[in-house]
Amino acid sequence: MSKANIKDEVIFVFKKVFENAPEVSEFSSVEDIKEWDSLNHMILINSLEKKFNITFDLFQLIEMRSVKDFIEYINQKLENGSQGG
Amino acid sequence: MKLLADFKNTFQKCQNNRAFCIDGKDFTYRQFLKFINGTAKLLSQEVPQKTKVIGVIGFDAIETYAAIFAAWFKGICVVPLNPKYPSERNNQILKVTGVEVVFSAKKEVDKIIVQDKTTVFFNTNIYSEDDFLLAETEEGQPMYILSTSGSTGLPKYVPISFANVEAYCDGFIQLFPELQEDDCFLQTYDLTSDAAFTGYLLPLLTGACVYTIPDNTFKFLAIAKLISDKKITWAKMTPSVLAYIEPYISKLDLSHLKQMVFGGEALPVALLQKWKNAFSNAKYSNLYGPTETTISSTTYRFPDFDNARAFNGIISIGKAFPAVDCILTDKNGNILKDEVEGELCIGGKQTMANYLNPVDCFYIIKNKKYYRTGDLVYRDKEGYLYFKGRLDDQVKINGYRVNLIEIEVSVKELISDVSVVAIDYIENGFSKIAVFIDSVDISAQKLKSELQDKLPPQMVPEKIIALEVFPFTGSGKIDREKLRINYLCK
Repeated sequence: MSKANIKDEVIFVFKKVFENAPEVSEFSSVEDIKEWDSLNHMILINSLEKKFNITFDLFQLIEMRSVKDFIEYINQKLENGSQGG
Repeated sequence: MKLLADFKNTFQKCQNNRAFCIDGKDFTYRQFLKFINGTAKLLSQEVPQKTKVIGVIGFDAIETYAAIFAAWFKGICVVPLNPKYPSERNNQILKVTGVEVVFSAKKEVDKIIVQDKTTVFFNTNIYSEDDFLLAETEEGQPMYILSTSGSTGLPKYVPISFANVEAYCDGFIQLFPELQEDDCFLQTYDLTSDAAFTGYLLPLLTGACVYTIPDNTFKFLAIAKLISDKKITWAKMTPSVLAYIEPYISKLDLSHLKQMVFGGEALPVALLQKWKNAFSNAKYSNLYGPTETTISSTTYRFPDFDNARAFNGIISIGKAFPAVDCILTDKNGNILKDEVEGELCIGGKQTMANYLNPVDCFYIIKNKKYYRTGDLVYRDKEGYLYFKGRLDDQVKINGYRVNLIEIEVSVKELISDVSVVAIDYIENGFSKIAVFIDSVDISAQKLKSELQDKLPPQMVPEKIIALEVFPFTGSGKIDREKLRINYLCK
């Protein structure tokens, strides 16, 4: 998957989880999306793990507070994964 | 009464112990006492003498706990305020409880309360060496007031006295003598939930250390991280929290945990089975109790998951605390004996006097007062109690009591001339709320946003579904079951 595709797919998942949130972009963060609470964070993680067939590092997840953080993490994870495979 | 003296003695005796670990920073009892003395000085010098009750914003900070204890040591009642609640809700709480003075550990209070009739004192970094005399408290004098979701469509306000709390603490220490000063207790509840009191009153009474969840973090992940900290020996949480962090069980080494305490919701056997290997060295207990009868009224301690008493897949809530009298009644208030199911009614030293706006919620039986919990409970041959469900429209969302009628009333306040039905449902194992309205001209998104400004987060519906017309039952009532089956069961 190309980086542009990953970005689009991550944003797509965000829009699905936060149905009622207005414009979600790669620059959106916890501060902009009112519904991004502890519970929705868990649902988001679950959706992204399924979508990209990856598992997040539990303790790194605490630091991830913007759409961009997730895009970067997934890019890195998929790159490392393909090198390893 | 000895409760306040007991706290102060422990603080002085254990002054080199850690009292708190807050956002990674340790505070000893000596430091904690200095923060209490500082806030007490502020209270004496700046706050009118006649003040009987203050609000404390529940930020995660040493100064928050210092404000709570400074007030109590001066005999002043505390109303905790939730920084996550909309200001409209918090201001309603201030108004009903008569709070005119609020203490805050942080400056960011604009979105939490409207300050027109309230004076806010910031006790950030305020400490002092000067000790002060403990107040004498009288029987029945309130120690804290909490608001809970009410069946009349309005919140109820529950005042709990120093005597109620003393009876609770004595009971807990009798039942859990193994809590010691070298323990570290993970406190996972918001300070506006009475379950939080277990998480800090008991450790502070024994000289142990309280670990808290930092503000502005993703709570469930923060709990997973903290609970993995090798120092934590006791943890108390709702079963929902375990369900949320379940995907990470395999990554958590929890062999250091000595005691897992559950409370706030029904505890399913199936959930515990998944965790049994993770908690390899822990003992377990299930606590039950409405806010009205002070934090916890019954407990069931069980050594392992496989032999735990359960009914319909739900772990027993055990037997009454030492100062608590639990009875089961039929719908006319007659006491039921032996193996039976009925409404659980709770009397004894932990039961509140009444709500701030008194309502008829008691049975008086043989001159003893019993609070009617509204919980349907089964009692087995050996006297163990089992929660079976509610007798009204109250549901539990992530450990919080939510009355569906209160949500319906809030929607009607925003939109007149519509019928509204709030229904709870389970999705992916999590309890959620949906609101149905019989008008398709209304923007669900706008309504949800308005409800977010009005209600605590746990009461905001996950889904708002607009229909042309509602389905009705044969007797002409809105068919809630059909709504649930057609729209909420996937």
